[in-house]
Amino acid sequence: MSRGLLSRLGGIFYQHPQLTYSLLAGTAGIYLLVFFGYPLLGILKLAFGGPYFQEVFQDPGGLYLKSFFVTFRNAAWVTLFTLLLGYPMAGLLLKANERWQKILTVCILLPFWTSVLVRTYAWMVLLGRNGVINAMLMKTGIVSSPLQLIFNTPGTLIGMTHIMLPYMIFPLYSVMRNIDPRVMAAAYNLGAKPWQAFLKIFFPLSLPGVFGGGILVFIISLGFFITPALMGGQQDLMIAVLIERRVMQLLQWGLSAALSLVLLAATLLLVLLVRRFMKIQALFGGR
Amino acid sequence: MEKRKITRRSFLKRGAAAMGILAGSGPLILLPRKGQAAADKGPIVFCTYGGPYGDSMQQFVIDSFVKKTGIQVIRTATPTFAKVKAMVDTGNVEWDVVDAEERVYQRGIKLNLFTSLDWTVVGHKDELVSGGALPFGAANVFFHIVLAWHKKKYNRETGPKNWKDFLEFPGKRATRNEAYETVEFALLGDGVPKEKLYPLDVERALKRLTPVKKDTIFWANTKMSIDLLTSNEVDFGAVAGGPVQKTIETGEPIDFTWNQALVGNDFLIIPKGSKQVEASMKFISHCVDPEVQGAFSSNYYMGPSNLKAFSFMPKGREDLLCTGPKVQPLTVKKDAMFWAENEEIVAKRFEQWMTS
Repeated sequence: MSRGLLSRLGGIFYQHPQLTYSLLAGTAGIYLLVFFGYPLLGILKLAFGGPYFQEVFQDPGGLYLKSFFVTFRNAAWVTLFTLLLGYPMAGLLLKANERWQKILTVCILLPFWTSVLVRTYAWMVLLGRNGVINAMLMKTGIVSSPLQLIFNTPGTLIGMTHIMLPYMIFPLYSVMRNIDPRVMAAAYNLGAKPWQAFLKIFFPLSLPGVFGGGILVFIISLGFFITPALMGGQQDLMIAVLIERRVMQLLQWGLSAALSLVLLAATLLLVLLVRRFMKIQALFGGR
Repeated sequence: MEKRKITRRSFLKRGAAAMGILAGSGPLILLPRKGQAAADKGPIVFCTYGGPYGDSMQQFVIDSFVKKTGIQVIRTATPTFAKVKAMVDTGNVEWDVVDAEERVYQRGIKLNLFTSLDWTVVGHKDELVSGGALPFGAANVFFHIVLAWHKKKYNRETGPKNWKDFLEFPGKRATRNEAYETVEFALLGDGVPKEKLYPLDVERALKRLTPVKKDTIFWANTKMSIDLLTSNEVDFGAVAGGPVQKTIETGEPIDFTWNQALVGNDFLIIPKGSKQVEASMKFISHCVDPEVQGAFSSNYYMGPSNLKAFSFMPKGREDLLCTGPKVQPLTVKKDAMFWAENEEIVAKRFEQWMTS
């Protein structure tokens, strides 16, 4: 009986694949609605429960606007650095044989499995004033007194880039893997030099990965608060640090809600802008 | 509308019940329903801090309580004021006893977040330090923030001796990345006598801190502050004393002074809506017991709130604790009330200064 019903149901899904997709998407949609949409309503209510937006924008000391600026600036730098480091890395992953792919993947994912405190400590061993890098620079006479490489903005960027790299590499890799190797072969056959083939064929085809990875890294970077607090300097009060302090310690929930909504709105705006940009790319042959 | 909630406790209870049934132990385990007075047999959830402090808490306070009363205690970390408020607001109270700093206590009673204590159950009222037995909380331990240094550059003679030295000595220094404590140290260093420290003159403090800002590393948590010192990333700094003393035990080349150490106080509170009020008060009673505190403070460097506790410690131990009779006159007591009333404004002003 039930088997018959099941197979009939299966038949319906088989005949209407859209139904399957919309059902799957619908489940995710309901999940989002319940666990993101509903709390968001609560945040809206909190944020409009007082003159909190006024406090954010008309703050004479400019703390919040400055913090937003620092947050977006740092996220942009991290996106750029992860792209510069991640692109060749993804290429390497593409060219590597199966065994090396496994080894590389583990290496790329390693920072994920390390606690943020341990990671910070490791960076301190490398970048600290008695650290390996400063010791080398001093010994070779390049500098006479240790450079401040950590507990300032570069420190924040190094720490964030380290942890965000996998988010850039894997989207890039998955796009690169789907680029038909024959198009590169065709380019060579038609007389393109390797750099020409890369710039004119491979790179444009990998752009969806660049944008996908970029947007992922950028958005996650906007919400960082532990790494900047541990590896950053005085200037690196990123907005999530301020929000966390106001939620957990100062109990300024209305203000925190307003700050979060401004961050959310700014992020959404940016994503929409990039999406437009990506459509333009599609015209030029990207996907 | 009756909502079905799976709290951590009910989950644990269900788990325990399932285990009991699986074990086939015969009698059916009857679980008391939520809100029933019979539920007052534990387990209680105790939210405290982690690290060596939490380990000592477990070993010298919680374990002996479980052994003595048979009431199970689930230890969890880390106490946050926001969570207590959220739990009380939503009626979903998962913590029965919370380790709360005095400023949190002061703010919490204004927001009506705590259950009033029955001091006839808690007891030890007359043994506690003055101001330690309050209507909604019992003083538990005293912590201290000290001026510590790495021995590579400084020793007891040449090292910084007070907060004035902290502001004026050459080298890199560390302090908390918040106004809390840092403002006090700047003012003490600027010559404000400790009796006149509060209310804090924040502008004066920031003005005094500005020249050394570029040579200061602002730490975000205790672990980081200790790492900064032991790795000699900084030469000296304002760091939590208990962890410093615990680190010295391990042989790290750091040292500290008791002079002008800032002392604060932790209270034990029961969030409003706890279903384990009776058991929780028994637990608090155990925490402030002189023998228990004596055992705890013999292992971890925090001052007892029960003055009788010193007689349960090895001789000389009191000189290593911030409430010890010889140490206490050197220290400065934090005014939790000032922070409870002004932290929002002071914190923001400090953040503006940090980023300017």
